[in-house]
Amino acid sequence: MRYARLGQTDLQVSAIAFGTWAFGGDWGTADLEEGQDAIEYALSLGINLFDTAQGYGFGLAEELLGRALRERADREDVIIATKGGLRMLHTPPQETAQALADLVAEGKIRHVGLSNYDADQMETFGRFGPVHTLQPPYHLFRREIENTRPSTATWPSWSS
Amino acid sequence: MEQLKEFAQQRDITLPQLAVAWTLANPAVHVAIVGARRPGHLTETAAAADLTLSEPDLKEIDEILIDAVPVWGPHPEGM
Repeated sequence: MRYARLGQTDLQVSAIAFGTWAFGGDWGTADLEEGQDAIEYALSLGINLFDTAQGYGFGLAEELLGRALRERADREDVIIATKGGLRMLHTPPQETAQALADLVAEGKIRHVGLSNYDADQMETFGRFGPVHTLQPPYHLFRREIENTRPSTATWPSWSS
Repeated sequence: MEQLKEFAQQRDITLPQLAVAWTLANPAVHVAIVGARRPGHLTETAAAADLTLSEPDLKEIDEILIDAVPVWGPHPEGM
């Protein structure tokens, strides 16, 4: 596995992250076991970054990930990226940014990342609190972010 | 899509591997998030971290994509 420094963080993460968004809310026991096996297998491949959200599978994804990682001795080496979901979209950016900055200060989360924000939204957010990573939709058939190009030059000056 | 499949086949890689390698080829990208419901899904895509696409490869993909009609599958962005 190849590793890279993630955004403006000090974290070395695998170039491939495990996305739990496909974990479904209608899963049976067999699916749950396979999901758990998939997480174990990912760890064995050297994947150390897991992407999840409260909303994925109506909470199932977070729960399954928590269960799979809880008992592991190397839990401290695993990085979880999670999201508060829609709640954030309806809250003014300064409140969200401040709340997340507080969580960093309290040691409850290590870094703040933005998901599905464009460069402008990111800049607004960055005026009120730290931003360390950005997770935009980007793949062969979705390339709009290339036009906004959130280079390090447009990263908010706040970064600690 | 057919053309992309052919492109991948010629390089002995699968379409999902091509998709992941292409995303990681952008220097602004540090990580590609790959969904998996069962272990088998990862065998293929995790290996794509070590694939390198050359400049001519990327150019060729761009040319194929110009004519491509976006294909929408299940995606996490709306979740």
